[in-house]
Amino acid sequence: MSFIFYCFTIFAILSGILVISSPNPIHSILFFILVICNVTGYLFLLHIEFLALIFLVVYVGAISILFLFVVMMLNIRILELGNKLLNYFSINSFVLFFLLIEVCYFIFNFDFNGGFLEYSVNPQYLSWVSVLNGIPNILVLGQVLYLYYFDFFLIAGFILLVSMIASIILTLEYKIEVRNPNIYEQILANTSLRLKK
Amino acid sequence: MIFEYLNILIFIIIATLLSFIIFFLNYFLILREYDIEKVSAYECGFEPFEDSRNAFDVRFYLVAILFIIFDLEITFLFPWSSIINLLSSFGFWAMIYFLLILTVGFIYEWQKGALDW
Repeated sequence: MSFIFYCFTIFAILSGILVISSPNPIHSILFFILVICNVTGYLFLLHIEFLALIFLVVYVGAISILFLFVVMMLNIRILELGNKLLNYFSINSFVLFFLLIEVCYFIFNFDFNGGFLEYSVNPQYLSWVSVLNGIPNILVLGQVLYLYYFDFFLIAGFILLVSMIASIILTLEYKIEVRNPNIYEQILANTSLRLKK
Repeated sequence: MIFEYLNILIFIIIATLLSFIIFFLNYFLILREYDIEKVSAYECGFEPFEDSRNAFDVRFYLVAILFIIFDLEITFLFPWSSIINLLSSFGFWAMIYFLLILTVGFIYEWQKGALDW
């Protein structure tokens, strides 16, 4: 158990280092997929099954494809990665500082005894059978998300809407002549209209 | 319990082994004859003019990002559909409003011609 835990953690960290240090951007995307796969296993060990599978679907299935598209669109050749890592040190340390604050906040405010995993918010539906057996992760999430945090849920919807509109505006600046087939014309065509020898 | 995933671990191990076997069996069983012409770059009788990695159209990216957005929408729908017998009508209507917001975006992209190919 703890052996698998350490395996996932060490592999995630190693491939995370390889993401930023590999010279070829395609290889770093592949290592990014490896990071996410390891994190998925890690979340499975924490019994957070739904989030683990969502990580797999969203990050591996979608985000990495997007990164591949970005790399191919920018037409980046293999970079010479010299001593450039220190050039970004200022902004890196800025991001790292806030990340550290978040992690510290999480560690010092998290209730490790019980807490998140066997969490039943809705006392109206508390049945002792489900408390004893533990209800699945996804049902806990569903109980919380659509009733108590519905405002965040709707804000997520608005964020998705904004991202949809923004991506359309950014990429559809030029109108291409799209040649759609005219179905009625195709159906109404008969042999007398065609070219003959 | 975590041991319920033992089957999946066995499947992963079998899949990994099988892919390794298929890959390396190919390497060992095939007849290999080295030739300088086989490894030379060849493109319709010419030496290749440029790098084969072309920058391609941004529309592929647009389709991918729209795919991600609707993928996330389905992700939000999945816990809802599994808990809907325990939710009150408030939870039901929350999802309906969420879907309405995204339908506005969908109509926008349809009318804008982002889905035309």
